[in-house]
Amino acid sequence: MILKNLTRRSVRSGLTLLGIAIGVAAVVALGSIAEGISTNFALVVGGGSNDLLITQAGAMDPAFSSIDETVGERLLAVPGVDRVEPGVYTWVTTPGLPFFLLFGYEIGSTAMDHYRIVEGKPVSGPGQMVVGRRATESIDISVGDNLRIHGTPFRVVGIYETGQGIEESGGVVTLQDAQTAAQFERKVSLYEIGLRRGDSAAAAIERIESLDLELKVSKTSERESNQQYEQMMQGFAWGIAAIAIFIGGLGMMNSMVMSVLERTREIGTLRALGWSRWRVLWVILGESMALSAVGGVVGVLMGIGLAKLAGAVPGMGALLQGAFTPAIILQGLATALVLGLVGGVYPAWRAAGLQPVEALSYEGGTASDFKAGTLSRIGSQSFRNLWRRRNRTLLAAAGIGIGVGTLVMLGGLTTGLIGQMNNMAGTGSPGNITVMQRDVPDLSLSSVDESVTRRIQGMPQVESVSPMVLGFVITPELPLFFIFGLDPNSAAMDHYKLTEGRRVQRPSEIIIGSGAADSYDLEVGDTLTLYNNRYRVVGIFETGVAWEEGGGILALRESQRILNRPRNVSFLFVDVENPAMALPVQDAINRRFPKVRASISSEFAQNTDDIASMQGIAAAIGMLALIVGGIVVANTMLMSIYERTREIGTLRALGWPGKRILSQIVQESLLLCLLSALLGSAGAVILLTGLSSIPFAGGAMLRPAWEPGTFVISVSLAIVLGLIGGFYPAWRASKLQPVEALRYE
Amino acid sequence: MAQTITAEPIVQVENLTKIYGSGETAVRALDRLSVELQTGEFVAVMGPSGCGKSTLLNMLGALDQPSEGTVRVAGEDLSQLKDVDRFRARTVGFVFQLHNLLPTMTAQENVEIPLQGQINSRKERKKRAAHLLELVGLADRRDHLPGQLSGGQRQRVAIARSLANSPSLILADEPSGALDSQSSDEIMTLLAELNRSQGTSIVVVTHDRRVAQATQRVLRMQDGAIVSDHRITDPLEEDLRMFAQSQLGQTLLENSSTLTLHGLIEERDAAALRQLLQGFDDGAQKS
Repeated sequence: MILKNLTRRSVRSGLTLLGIAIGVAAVVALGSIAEGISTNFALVVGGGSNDLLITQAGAMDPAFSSIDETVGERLLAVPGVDRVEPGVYTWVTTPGLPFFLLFGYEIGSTAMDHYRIVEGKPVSGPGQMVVGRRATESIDISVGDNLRIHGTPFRVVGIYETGQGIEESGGVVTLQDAQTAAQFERKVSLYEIGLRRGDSAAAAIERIESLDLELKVSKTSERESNQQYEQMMQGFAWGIAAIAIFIGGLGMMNSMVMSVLERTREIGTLRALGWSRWRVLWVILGESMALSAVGGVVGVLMGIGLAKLAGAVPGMGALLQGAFTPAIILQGLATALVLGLVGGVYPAWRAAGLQPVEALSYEGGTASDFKAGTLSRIGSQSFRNLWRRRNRTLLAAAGIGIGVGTLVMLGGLTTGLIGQMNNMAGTGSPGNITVMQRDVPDLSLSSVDESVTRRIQGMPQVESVSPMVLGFVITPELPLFFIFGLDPNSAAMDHYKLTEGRRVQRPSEIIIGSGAADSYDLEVGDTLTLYNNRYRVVGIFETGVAWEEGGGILALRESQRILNRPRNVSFLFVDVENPAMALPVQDAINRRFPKVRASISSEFAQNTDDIASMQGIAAAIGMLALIVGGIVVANTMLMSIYERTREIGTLRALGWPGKRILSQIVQESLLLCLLSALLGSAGAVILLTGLSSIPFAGGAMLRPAWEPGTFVISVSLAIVLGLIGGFYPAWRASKLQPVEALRYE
Repeated sequence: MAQTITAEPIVQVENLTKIYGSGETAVRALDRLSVELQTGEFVAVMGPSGCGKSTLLNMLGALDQPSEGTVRVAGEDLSQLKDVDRFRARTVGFVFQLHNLLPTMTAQENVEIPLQGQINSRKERKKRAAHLLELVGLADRRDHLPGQLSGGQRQRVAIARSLANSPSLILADEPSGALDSQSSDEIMTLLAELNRSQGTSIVVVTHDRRVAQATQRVLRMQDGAIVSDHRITDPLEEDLRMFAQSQLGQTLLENSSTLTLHGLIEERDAAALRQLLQGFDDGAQKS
């Protein structure tokens, strides 16, 4: 019986199924990717067969950690410690692999044994490298080949496997080679510690912590150092999945409510023939559950396919490699069942609550169920037809609205971020060029040799060059504090408007942004501790860019010292004498220094890989949300024409041409989409404005910026959806045979 | 029954056959039916359900295509129609059993439906619709939604709607089927009045003898064919006809001994009644 009821409206059931499947697929694919990312990262950290892992306190992950080499000796002196093995982790970019993690260890150390050689031999001296299995696939390299890292050639002597995507997308070299590549002089990223057999790890941790060296000690078996990142990724994935689930649930509910409404009379008959309330409830709920179970299975398969597809992308694939645990598949199926329950309970309850007499006299879409009200007599026919089924219209509108809202929110955030990055330290003059390292995966990883500053300074048309170092601190006291290193007398300093105090004059001084001053309750004259160094706040600045105002400016040399970046900087800001010449100067820099990328500052962010991938992800999520929304529209319009079959027959009998019916239905669909798009856009603006006004770490990055383009794209997409979603139902309606339509009950 | 043709017939049906489905399950809804209806006639089509009367009506309104035979309405062969929609809007007017008013439209807007695409001026359409509603006595209900009207009022709106483009032929499928007897009488009186004052030809499908009595000519159908066709000239005659076709009348005609056996009637009286009724039992004569 359940099956028969579902096949009776096969197109609609199919659409609902698709809606659920997409929701579930999103849950499974994103869930597995998030899981994959967190296990990959976790094992990078927890790798090795050593017992303890020591990183710099406050570093987000080992690649951002930096410890002085002298610490090694002090660690070895701690009772219970058997061996201390330094390691260097650094992100580099090689052609074909934007994220290549380079590891450096001492030859023959236990830490290096973690990388199991499957071909060739291990690293036995400088200039040698073993590369991971995945890297060999992405960049087509094999034993005996050469690989250049920052211009230095390395000979590939072996290939290793560890079972971890990220690790296998990188390479291992000697400690000294890695230090050179990372520009770590007498510094390492981490220490791995092996304990004496039988010694307690807890005791050792306590002793190391008592050294008070700003170190973070963790057991390699506990993957806690990446919690922040892991949580962020999981939150992100769940956010997207939640949108998909929400929309899927709406579509489901919509479909079930309609199916109950149109069968009101049947339900009345069943009740009159002695079926109990509960029996009716179970049949309706059963239909809903059957639909969602099938949708769930389809969705899980789609999700696995999607994740596999993402994992196969060269380069980025390693990051997106999904991990399929039974838990994730169960999660997907559970989502589908919850959708089925939630979507089915209300209609089932409604059906069960029907009085047999009422249900039997229900006319289904004729005069009696359209009651008078002021709103029912105004507006076009399209509006009235939507108003007639207000609840359904609302459900459908919510579906599309959420889709459009998502698109608008992501668009606003991306635009906001681009705006903020473009504003960064640029003097704002039209002839400003930003220079950064070419092909780095992340802005914070950009590294440009200081000598470039002087060489650009000597180029024609160049008025001034301001080098800047960008870094950040994450500690419990300073959840996200950006450090800008700038020469106090450089032109770029003009970007930071002092509202209080004066500029930095000594290495021990700092000026902080107004946001940081508020968040950490600091005033001129107070002191601030960064990486174990104390700085006196001498001034407070404003830039109008929230995340900049959440940081502070140190003298250039001082920032290089504490961030371990001797003789290199993150960015160069170039001012040109004649703004009209900015473009030729940009090209000249790009030609002369192949390792850097110069962009006109106002276009800087658009050229970075960060923004490109963010825009890609935003577009993908938005499209996903919109597709589900489109399914809801088609579903709703289909239901609407089913229930109005007799009316359509009447119109045909009264001489309305099929074309006229077609245009009427398409108009309704368009109106529905347009209204939802407007609501969705408004909702997105309100939500984001509300969110960005809540003070929390990183909230500054969520400062949205609205440009007409975002809305135009979102609303036009909704209109296209309305056309597509409305056309098939409209076409069906226009093709109805009048006699059959009139006989329809 | 012989007819003297005075003007061009409004409806000419020849050898009309309609078969639904195919093979074993094929249903012959109309079987070589031929009939002519004169312009200005008010005709009732009666018969048990499934006899094909609604199918015939749909054929006349160009809602369905014949399997065989031809249908001409107002001189036009329906199989040769260039613009079916225009024919449906202008030449015929439909009144349905369940009125089929659009619930989202007011009475006025419902009447305007067939005018859309026929009269371009919005103002003209409004005027015409208002006039029609006045004609059916609903001038004060123009802005009401169907949900706010009584059953009889809704059906009157439907009649006004069928008149929108001054059609030559009104096709009404059980127009009073869902109404109480008083509203039903009102509707039939209205149709009769329209027939008289406007000269519109009307075909009413019904299974109610009282309704049929309001018309001028009654066609009886059975198994897709017309089994009797007579004009109503004298109400008394029509009563006798009804009596002849009733259970009691048929018993008197065919098996009056049952009644005399029960001592309900003298054989002598039964014979006299039988003689009187025999002239009106057209159903029995044909079958």
